[in-house]
Amino acid sequence: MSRRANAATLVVALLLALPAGCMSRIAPHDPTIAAGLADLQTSHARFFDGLQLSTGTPEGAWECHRHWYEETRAAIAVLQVRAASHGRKDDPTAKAIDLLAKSVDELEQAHAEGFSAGEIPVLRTLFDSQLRMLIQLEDAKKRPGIAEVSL
Amino acid sequence: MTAASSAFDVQALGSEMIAAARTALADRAPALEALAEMELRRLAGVLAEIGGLLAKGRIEKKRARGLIEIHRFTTRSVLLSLEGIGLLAADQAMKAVMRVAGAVLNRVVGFKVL
Repeated sequence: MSRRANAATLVVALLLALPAGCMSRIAPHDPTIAAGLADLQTSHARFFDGLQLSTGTPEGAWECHRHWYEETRAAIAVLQVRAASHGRKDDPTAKAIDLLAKSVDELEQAHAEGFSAGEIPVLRTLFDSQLRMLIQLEDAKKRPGIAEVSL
Repeated sequence: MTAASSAFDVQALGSEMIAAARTALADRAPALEALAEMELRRLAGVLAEIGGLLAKGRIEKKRARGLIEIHRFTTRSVLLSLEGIGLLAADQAMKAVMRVAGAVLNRVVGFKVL
């Protein structure tokens, strides 16, 4: 095979490979999503701190936290719209935010039925995991590597 | 050595591309693996806690099912985030490989293709 033919083969191979690199499934880093997730993490921490102290008392009842659920759902809806605006089908960030919304629905349903104190640390860990990992993913998007990911 | 390989060293280019990918992934793969292991161990611990609450009669079956549903959403969410971080690492490796291949290709054809 001539030098020219070799080069042509390489050009075709690289041109075929290029779209895979350019059309990543991952949406770019979005400061609005990053800030929104950080706010949700703070809000959840405060919510579970309060529940840890108030579960079993009238202050721990769902009615006293109804506004928190409304605000949280609204905040997540903003993130869902923002994530969808990047137009990446199967974007992990968008899918994970959808799962967070479903988790909040389940949490509210359980809260309306009444919590026991032993459940709060379990729920806290689950929501903390979701939000922390989403924040790590958003953070990884703006950095050249993930070696700095804090463990 | 064949005429083709002397004109265009595909073997050497392949080795350079592999080395570039390896370098790009070197630090990231172990960090991603450690992160995945830590998160999945934590989720396994939570599942054990839910089982413990149910076994001790502190929650009913219906509530246990609700907690497991949130656990299921969380596991999927964590795996999606890990997948995303992995895809970012793959994108970086891809760029490194394309840089190497592009440099060789541009030299061979005599103008900037990539």
